[in-house]
Amino acid sequence: MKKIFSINKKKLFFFKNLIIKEVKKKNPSFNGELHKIHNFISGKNINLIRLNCFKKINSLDWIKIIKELCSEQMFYLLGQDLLIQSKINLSIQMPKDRSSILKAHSDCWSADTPFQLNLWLPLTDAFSTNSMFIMDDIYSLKYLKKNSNSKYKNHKIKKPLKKNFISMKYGQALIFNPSVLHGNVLNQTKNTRVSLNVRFKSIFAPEPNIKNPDRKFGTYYKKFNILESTRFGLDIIENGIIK
Amino acid sequence: MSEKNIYTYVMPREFRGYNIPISIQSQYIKNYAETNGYKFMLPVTELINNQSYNNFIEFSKKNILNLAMTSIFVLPVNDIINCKKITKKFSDKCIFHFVLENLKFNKKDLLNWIFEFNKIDKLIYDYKSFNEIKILQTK
Repeated sequence: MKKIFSINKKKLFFFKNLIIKEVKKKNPSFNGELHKIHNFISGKNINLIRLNCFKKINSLDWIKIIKELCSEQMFYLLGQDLLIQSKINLSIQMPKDRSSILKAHSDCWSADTPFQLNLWLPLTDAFSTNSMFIMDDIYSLKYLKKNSNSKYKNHKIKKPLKKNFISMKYGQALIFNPSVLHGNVLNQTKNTRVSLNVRFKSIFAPEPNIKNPDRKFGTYYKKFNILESTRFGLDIIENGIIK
Repeated sequence: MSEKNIYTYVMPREFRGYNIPISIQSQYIKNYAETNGYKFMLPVTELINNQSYNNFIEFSKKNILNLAMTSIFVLPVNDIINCKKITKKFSDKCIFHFVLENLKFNKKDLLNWIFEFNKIDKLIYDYKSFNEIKILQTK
């Protein structure tokens, strides 16, 4: 399941501007073009920039912007009683940077609920090897099933094809189920890709049990939206009206 | 009490499925204190006894302004009455910091968060209950 849609660039600029400011702190000559970060910041320093930006964004009310950007789409796909990942993530994929390669994986391998959806927001154009690849549902499920029985060695995942790499412009957003195999390869383009990602889950969808507290509501997720009618239902339960 | 002193509290027993060594909890909170410009005060460890919050309550007598812990689930979050009891004597000015969840609350907002959490948490089931529902559907 993959869905690409257009979003409000002006609102998205909130995030872009914040990153530009952080890069300028490190190198005042930075011209503000995020896809050219690699000309201003060395590979050695990029993770520090990423961490500073991550900390800065997460200290602000980023959920408000995300609400404005994608509520409609997310409500359509998951319903309106939603939880959102507690922290929004930031990726910076500079050309030839081997340290940022994230091999093909499924989020459910690290105990994420398979019922969640991931909102992926590129802050630069994303294309070819600077982008993320997403394998198709059928292959992913087949592989996940096969690998779940393997105890000592992971089965080999087929190489992503050109068509598996997501091609998106700045101002577009992608929603996909991160249980599907996805990842990235060495960025062989001349452009850096900067993107944000954050996960959503319906309140009514199952989550891992206490064996994986890291992936539960309260720690991994926080409240995003609750319908008035759900709130009323909760009050009914809370007041012991239904025994 | 200096506004920049952050007192720290660590839990030697399991909380919400976590059982984190004290030294790791301490280092984690210390890192939070340093990156946020607080003066880290050495951690107070709770008693191992089940349900004990004796050392947590001790903080309320010291009129402190900042108290940090690894997670909000160090507190008995599923028991709102107990939460009210153990936080009762804390000053309204005291800010509780929960590093894992990136949350910062005064007493009133902390209790509101716990109240809201318990309401929503009741609606969320895990895979085990999901399997039970599936079994019911196929019967």
